[in-house]
Amino acid sequence: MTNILEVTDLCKTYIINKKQNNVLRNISFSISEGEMVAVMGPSGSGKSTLLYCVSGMDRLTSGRVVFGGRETAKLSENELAELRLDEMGFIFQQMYMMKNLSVLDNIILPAVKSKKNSESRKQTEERGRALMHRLGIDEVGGNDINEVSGGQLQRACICRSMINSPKMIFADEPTGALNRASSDEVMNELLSLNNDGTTVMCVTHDPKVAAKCSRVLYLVDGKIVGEKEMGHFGGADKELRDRERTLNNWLMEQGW
Amino acid sequence: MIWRILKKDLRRKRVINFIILVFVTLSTMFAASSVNNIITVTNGLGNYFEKAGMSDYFIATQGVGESSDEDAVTEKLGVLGSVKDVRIESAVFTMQDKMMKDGEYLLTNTNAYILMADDEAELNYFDSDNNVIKKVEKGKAYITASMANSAGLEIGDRFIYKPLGKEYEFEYAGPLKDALFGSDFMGDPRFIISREDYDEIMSEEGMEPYKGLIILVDTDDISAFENEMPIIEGTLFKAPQSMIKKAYLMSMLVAGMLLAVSVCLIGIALVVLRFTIRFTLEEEFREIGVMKAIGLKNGSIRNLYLVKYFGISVIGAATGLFLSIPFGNMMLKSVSDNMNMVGDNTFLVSVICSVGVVALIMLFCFTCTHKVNKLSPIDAVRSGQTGERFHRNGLLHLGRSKLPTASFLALNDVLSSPKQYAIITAVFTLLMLMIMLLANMANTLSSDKLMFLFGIDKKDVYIADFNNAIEVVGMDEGGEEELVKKCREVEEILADNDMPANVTIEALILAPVTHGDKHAQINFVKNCQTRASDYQYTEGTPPQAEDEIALSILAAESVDAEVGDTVTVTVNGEEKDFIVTALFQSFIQTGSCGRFSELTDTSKMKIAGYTSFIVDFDDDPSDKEIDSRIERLKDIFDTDEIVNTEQFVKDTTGAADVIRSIKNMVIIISVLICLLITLLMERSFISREKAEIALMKAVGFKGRFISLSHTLKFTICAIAAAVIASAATYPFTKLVSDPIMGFMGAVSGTEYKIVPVEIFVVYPLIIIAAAAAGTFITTVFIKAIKASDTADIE
Repeated sequence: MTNILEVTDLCKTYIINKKQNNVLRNISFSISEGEMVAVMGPSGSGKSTLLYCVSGMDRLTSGRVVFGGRETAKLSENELAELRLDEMGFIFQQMYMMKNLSVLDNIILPAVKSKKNSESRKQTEERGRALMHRLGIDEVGGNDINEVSGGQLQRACICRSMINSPKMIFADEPTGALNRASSDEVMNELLSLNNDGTTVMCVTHDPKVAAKCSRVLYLVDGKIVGEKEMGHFGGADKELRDRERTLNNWLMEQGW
Repeated sequence: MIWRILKKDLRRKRVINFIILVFVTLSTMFAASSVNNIITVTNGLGNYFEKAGMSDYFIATQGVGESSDEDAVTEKLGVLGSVKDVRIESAVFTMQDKMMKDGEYLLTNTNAYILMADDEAELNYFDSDNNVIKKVEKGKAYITASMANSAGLEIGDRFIYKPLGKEYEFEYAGPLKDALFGSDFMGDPRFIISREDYDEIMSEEGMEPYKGLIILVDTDDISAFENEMPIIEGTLFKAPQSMIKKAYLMSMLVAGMLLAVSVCLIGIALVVLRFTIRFTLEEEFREIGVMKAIGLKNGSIRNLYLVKYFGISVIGAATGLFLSIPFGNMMLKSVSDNMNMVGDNTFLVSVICSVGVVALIMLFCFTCTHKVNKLSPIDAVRSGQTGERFHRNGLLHLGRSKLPTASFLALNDVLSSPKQYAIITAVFTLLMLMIMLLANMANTLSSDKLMFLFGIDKKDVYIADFNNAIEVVGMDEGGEEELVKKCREVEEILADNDMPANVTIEALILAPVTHGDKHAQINFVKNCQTRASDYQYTEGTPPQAEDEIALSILAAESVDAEVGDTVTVTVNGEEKDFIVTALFQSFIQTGSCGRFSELTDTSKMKIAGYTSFIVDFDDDPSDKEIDSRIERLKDIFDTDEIVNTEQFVKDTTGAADVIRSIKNMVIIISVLICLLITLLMERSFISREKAEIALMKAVGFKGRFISLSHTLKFTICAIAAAVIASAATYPFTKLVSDPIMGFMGAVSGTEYKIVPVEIFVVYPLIIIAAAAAGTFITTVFIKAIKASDTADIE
């Protein structure tokens, strides 16, 4: 499998009150196309910072990040924005959307702006509706974002992340603000996308979420201290329970 | 603790706090200086008149006989019961072309010039240091300040006075402040010279017809005096003190316009404050909720905000008060050049204005912080979400819209928060209307729209060569014929130069009018070569028979007459009955005049004055050709006072340039306000929409796209304001300007000149560009928001 993301000696340092704070220290890893990788670790370990750095949302202090064969450090802000718009999808814990747009308009907004999209707005809207149908939220397309549940909103965020058919989706605690039922639904959708070939990198606290991923990276104090190969998840409940047990044991070993 | 919170707030919101400070400073500066100036000019005018020893009524006469006989006039007026005292100044009335400096006219003013000996002064005339001019050295002359200044005269400049054959050389001794004729609107330059020089001039043969009197009448009852005032031969001008005060209207207008700007600024400052306070409260719901949760009362929390705004208001007001001193003096300069204003500028008034601004702002802040009472500790717990459904936000649909994405987002945002953007639109509209109002006034005051107010028909060219017919004034009879002769002479000159034309002139004839127990002396306009029906009337039909007249609305009011009434007019020495057939509006004699029918015989009446020669070319030339002919005529008649219709109105009103310069100042102020408003509001929007901006960046939108979208929001508001202001410009101008024009004589309203390119394109574009530029500049703050800030979304 080809690597879609290669990270070498990634460092990220913040200066706060004249004190140097090394959030990420010499991190190296790679993600192959079609993988679903979870990043776990205690609070403040640098998980989200890692996700932002590798997705081009934040600049590195040093090191190298290559996404789809392009070194992100060498790209300008505008080129990075185009890369994020066309090749990446994002899901955030807070399910944030543009408050003055309907759910459907929020979903299709990145497609309307994308240069690689040659469709008419009507066709884009149809595609947006199809994605919503697939995720089971087609009835809320015309709703305001404050007129839908958290689970529906997060699924809408997944639709938005998918609208430009990205090579990779970056998810930061995608189920962090959801109840268990909604959380399962959202993770099943991500799994389904992954099964269709989309690479996923997901930051999470939740072993139940991480157990559905094919690989888990464990971060402590800005360093990857462990890596667990989980294999592809078939989808059965029993398999999930077994994977959760295995992962929990491994996490205990890492000091979770 | 309060100080710590305040300190943090001031540091965190330094841009917004600074802008509020700027608005408070500007508001105070404008309010203090313009209120002070209005009070100074209003009181100052009264004080100045008192210092000058002004009488209650003024009459100016010229000519031989009674017109220049002091004893005869004193006797005639002294017997009237309403007269307390009569003072008379003897003077020479002369014209522009008699005063030359280096081969050019000394002054640009074309009204009558008054030459007077120092010991003739019955009024007090002040020099530039506000000392009374009592003695003038031989060979020197003081000249009315405004005219001398506009001609750029320097003390020591020499000029020649050549009334007839002999030349007299004078040295300019300095400006003089003449309360009676010194205002811009009156505009009659007075020269005060030594008695020796005056006697020498008067000893020259042929000077008698130029001699005249300035009669100062003191009375306790103006209307009684006007009622019993006899005709004094050769009367050129007569007016009560109230009319002389009106002539200082332009000075008041400047101060009044600036006060209007101050009121607008204070209004805008309050809008900005409201926006900022509401915005701050929305942003700080959590802190307020927590403060309430730990037991702080509403009053204590509100005090926190009030203390901050009180501090800003006091600092702003103090700075504004300090700045208002030089600014007010600058505004007053043109006025104090013409008037003795010593001791009238009251600093206390400025202090009261500043305290008033602070009080107004604090009262406003108090009402705005009322929202604190509505916030509860639960708001803090629930992150501001109350669980209630609010109004629907999005109104447009991206999928169905044909707009570019940035425009769509901007328009959708504007429509989603109509109240917020309506305030911005209202501010932009107000700024545009302020500029448009001044532009419409200035354009109207220099357009042919006002021609009808001067009792002159709109024709091609006006030749203001008043010297040409000066001998007509004061002639016992035949003045009208003489004027017609003069017109024929001008026609011949024009025909000799291949510009055949019909030339006419309007004569002013003073006649006593009685209606019931009301009497008035009214200046009638008469043109022997035109028909009364050629002119505009607001009511009735033009006078067509010899016993019919039209009166201006103010003249009709002065004798309590209406259309259809019969009034008695003394014509050719006989009292005759005339039917008032029409009413009209006029600027002549600040609105009080009449018009005879062309059939009325007035041949034995004295001509009190006349207008320019009115030229109507036979070949109907284009405007361009008229302008070219004007240049040729200037050479032929050796005068610069040859103008087209627009220039004629502009020169006569004399206000267009003053208003135009105020307009230019208001444009600059409006652009600055526009920049400050957009800076403040856009900065606030960026701060509130930080999460959305971060999200857009994270999803892959470029910074410049977000900047464009934000800029478009304000541009949309400015465009909406342009549409509203364009639609409202005429009614707004009419509403504000009609009372001012009415004051000058146009009591039934005026048709205003709108220059479409200027009003509908240039000024809206200036504000739209300022709004767009202000927003775009502020969007630099968007750069500071990174895609990774999505991690901080709450």
